[in-house]
Amino acid sequence: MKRGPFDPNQPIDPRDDSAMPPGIPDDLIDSICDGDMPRSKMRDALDSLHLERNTVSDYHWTADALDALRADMHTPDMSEIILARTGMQRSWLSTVMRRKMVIGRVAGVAAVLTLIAGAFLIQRAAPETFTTDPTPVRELAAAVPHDAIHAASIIAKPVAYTVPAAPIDDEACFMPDARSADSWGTNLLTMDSLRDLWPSRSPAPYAMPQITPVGFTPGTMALIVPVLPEEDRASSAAITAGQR
Amino acid sequence: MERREEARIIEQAAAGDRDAASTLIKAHQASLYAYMLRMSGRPEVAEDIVQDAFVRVLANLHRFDPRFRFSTWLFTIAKRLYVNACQKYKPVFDSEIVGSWQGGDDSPASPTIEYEQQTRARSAIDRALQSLSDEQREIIVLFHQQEWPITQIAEFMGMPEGTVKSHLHRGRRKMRQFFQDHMRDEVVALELEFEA
Repeated sequence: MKRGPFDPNQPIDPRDDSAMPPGIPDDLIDSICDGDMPRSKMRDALDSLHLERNTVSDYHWTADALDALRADMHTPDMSEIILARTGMQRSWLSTVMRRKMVIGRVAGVAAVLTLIAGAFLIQRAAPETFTTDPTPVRELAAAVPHDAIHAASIIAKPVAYTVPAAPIDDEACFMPDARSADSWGTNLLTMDSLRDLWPSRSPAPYAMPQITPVGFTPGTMALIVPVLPEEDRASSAAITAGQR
Repeated sequence: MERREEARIIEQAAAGDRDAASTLIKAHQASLYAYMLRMSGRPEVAEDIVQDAFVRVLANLHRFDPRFRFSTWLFTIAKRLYVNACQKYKPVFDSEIVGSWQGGDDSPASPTIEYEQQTRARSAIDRALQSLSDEQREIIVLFHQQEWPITQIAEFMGMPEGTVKSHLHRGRRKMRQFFQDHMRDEVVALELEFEA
């Protein structure tokens, strides 16, 4: 039997035979079972079903069967078995224990943070509390005044005397490196020349200080000699004169 | 259970809360068991699958995406387990066993016509369900037993909503046809039997 599509939104008049298609359309039953039909239409539709006894019976069987699916089914409680089986893979804690654990973790983290913050503050206030190792900044800070004092002492100390040099006879001096006097009659003794003035077998009668030229201008040739004690100065003069 | 409440319980269970995990199991075990019993037709298979599904879910609870429904996730895992189990146990639907497992409060002490009709109806439902294809049966169970909306079933089954509705309607018509063919005579006979 060919059945036309049923429109659930169209009102159904059960007394009007012409309004009803032959048999009960499947779409009507589907609409009822799906719950798509508005409640107002549902009443009319159910009334219309009573027109056909067999269809009503079939519908009721289906509806009852579907309702029976929703009926409570005895289910064994498997929660303990499942938790026991899951417990082999992971540990479970009761709510109370878990709360205690969470509180303990929070307290632990708070304690560590407090400790770190305290240490930071102490380090800021008293840097030497935890370590004596020099730090670059502290070393620099300590070095600056020391360097300043040292520099001041260097500046304050005279480093050399500038004395006019007497004309030196090359032969008398036995100085291969000694240079001839220039037009002003002065000789410039180099450091090597001075060192050669003393015999290499015997040590110099005084320590050779570091000599630093303090200045040089072309017009004033000068001999820079170390500061010598008085007696050594005489000895040096004798050497210069070729007496030794 | 509301989804927000469920999300909170899932979060607690994922963190190792035994009570929350127990609550989660108790909230879903009945529906999953009913679904698996309808699908497999064997209580022991349904029970095994429910246990295995929950064990897997609880072990991987941290992977659960709260944007989706927990029940969909649980049922998907259970269905996969069922498909695997089908390779081991071919589902032989025993309507007597299924009938005895549902509606446990009914007492068989007074065999009234109503009770007998109910028992036979349950048996008929199981037989009618077994006359359907797997997809039709699954959709009918999910829609009418689990009361899932069409959208959720479509998401779970991985098919368009229209296809779900089509399977649902065909399944119901098949069931009606089954009742037409088998039950009408049986009911009449039963009524006559009790009248006699």
